Amino acid sequence: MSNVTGPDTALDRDRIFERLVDQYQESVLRMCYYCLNDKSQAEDAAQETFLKLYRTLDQFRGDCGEKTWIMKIAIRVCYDMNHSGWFRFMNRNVTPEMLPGEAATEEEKNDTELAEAVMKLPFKLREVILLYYYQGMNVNEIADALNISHSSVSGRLKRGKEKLKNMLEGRELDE
Amino acid sequence: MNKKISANELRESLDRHASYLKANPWLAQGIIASEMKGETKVKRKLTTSVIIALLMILTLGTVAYGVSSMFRIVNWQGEVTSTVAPEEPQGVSENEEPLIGSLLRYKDTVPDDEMVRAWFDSEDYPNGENSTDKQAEKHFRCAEDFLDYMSGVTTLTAPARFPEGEYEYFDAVVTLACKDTGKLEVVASGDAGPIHYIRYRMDEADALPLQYNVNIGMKDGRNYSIQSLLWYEELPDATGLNEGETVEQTEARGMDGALLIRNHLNDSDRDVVMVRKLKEPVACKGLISLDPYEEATMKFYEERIWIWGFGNYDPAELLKMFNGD
Repeated sequence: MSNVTGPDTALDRDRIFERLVDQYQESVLRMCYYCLNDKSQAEDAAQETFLKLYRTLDQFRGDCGEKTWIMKIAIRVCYDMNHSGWFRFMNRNVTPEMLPGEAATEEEKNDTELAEAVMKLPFKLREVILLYYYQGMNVNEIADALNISHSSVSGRLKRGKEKLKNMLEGRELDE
Repeated sequence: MNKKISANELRESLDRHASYLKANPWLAQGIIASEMKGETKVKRKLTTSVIIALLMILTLGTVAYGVSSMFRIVNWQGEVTSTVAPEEPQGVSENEEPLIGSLLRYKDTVPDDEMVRAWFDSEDYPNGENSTDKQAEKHFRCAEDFLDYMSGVTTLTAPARFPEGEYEYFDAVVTLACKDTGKLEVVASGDAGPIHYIRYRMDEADALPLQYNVNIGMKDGRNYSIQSLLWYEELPDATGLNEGETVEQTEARGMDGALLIRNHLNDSDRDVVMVRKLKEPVACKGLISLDPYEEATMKFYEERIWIWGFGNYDPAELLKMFNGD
């Protein structure tokens, strides 16, 4: 994994930023989508994530991986959007109608079922499940990204898996 | 079925499912250019959910806002920016209706100097929940007391004066959150039937006025409602207009934008909507849960004020309250 270790000049800074956007934009966008259950908000969140990233690029000293760092920003942005005071009473639960397209093949049906189950998880469990299984981050990196203890990450992973298993009729996530 | 799902399988499945989301090839250049020009933030799109939330607030929480074929959204110049009617907010099922009633009733039992986050587990969606927050409140029954209190408030703009005449009633409520630098103390948490709750209290010195609502009834039949609130996002759009409503740009002291809305179907109802951009965002603590990680900060970027008048009154009076002339 390539890492940013703090740009020396403005030109370096912009080049590094362009590479990070190029490399992680799709991943951040999808992560935000699964966190927020809403395409438009996910696009806003991805934009906000990279804006914050650009503004804090100088502060990155490589004490965690760049992906961990970017996901940390994305999760915080999604968290703030998800908990904006005026939206608290709006029901953001996912319904099949809100999901894109209509599942046709078995594979698409399976994809929809999994995506829907993940999006139905409470935010705290969903973010940990997504970071661990979807973004491939380890427990240490997640704990660092979310500013919580290792045991909290492990506990949330366990509870998230259990809830997914209930929703997926016994099918469960492998370790 | 007891099939295991590997991390790879889940990743591929989620990627395929979200493959319709496409990266913006101009994002990096757009951000670099906007930052070089010193713009404070990249312009955001107006999402449907934002429009819905805005309309819900415009109608004081009434969901049935009467979307018609004549629906328009206008900016602060009074120009129509969209004629696309917002989608109806997602309804509540019969199962959950009584629970929402309980949730709101529970909220009403909380003392004014406390805040609460209350929620219930959704029956319709396993692992989902519906929640609501209530910040602390300060109530006033006298216009002078309210104006006296507001003279020390910097986050919200109070009227310069209220209409002259004999009052039948005056009722004002100021909603208070906890400054982001303040301390929220948990005073109780638990269950009230199906409702789970966490109640908080703060020092008076940490109180941050976020919103006020004033209702005035005059003995001659004139009635006024004024609402001011801090809005969490700078929006280019000012308000939605229904059939029979027209809008004209006007000016109000201290405001960055003001519109006068006339309802030609109901001659007695005219509204004013105003906006004031905050020089610095205002931040307060969000009421989330006992988990310190979730103690999110809420930030606000502008103040929006609505004035409604009912009865036989001079529409110019609505603006005079703020212009003071």
